[in-house]
Amino acid sequence: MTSEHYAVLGYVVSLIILAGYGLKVYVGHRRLNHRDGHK
Amino acid sequence: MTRKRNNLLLAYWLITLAAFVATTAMVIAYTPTEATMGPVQKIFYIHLPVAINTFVGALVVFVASIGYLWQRKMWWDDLASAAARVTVVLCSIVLLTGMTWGKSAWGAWWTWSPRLTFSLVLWLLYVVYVMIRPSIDSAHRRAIVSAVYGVIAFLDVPLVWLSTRLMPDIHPTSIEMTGPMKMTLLAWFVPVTLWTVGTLVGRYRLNVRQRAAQREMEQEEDSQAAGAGGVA
Repeated sequence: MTSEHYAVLGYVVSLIILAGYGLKVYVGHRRLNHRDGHK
Repeated sequence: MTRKRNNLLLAYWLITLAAFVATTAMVIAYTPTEATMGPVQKIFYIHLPVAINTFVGALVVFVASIGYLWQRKMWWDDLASAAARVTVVLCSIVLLTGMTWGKSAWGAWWTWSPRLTFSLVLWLLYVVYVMIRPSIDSAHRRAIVSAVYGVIAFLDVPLVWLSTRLMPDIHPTSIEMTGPMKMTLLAWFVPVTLWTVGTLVGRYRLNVRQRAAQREMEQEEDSQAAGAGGVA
């Protein structure tokens, strides 16, 4: 792998982790909203 | 009220997304390639802001833990727990970007240098914080154990910060940067800090809501049990 490949790998992995955790928190809220809506 | 808040939240996350897109474009098109290390040096623009935000996350855990021990209010525990989770996510990125850079620059994914070792210890400390919480049933006991642990775990942050100054270390202490490089580095603090604040607040609100839902469920179970007792 070249220096450029490592740079791209670092950014892609980082952005996926950030997006993934942000999405996890969002889904947590959605689940509670869904639960509240069914009461 | 809820609609207005949802619109504000949507605007906040759209601004954050736009900042990530703009700063990524800066890295690709605007920032020059460093002569010695080549393109992999560009990892530094995300690595440093995420590292600083990791320290901020750990500081929030520390302050919220002291707040809980002082006032015994559960919202401090909700805040500390939210910050610990965000710290784990950020510290994971610090380690991964550092390892990727190290593989290209040093030819090895990992070396046991003081900065890397203390960073790994920091990550492990907050992973353990998040993992031990569900194993304690009583909410107040969990909050006390977490708060004491949160205060002690923070002691590793100054060690990470000072490791390259106090001990011989392979980790770079400073990098010579041109104007566009400094601009890109500063620009990356915007999306990373927006993400940290937004996710921390989102996770805190989720903790508060989950606690309220749990309490409601327990009250329902208690009233059902009392009703069943009355019939019998």
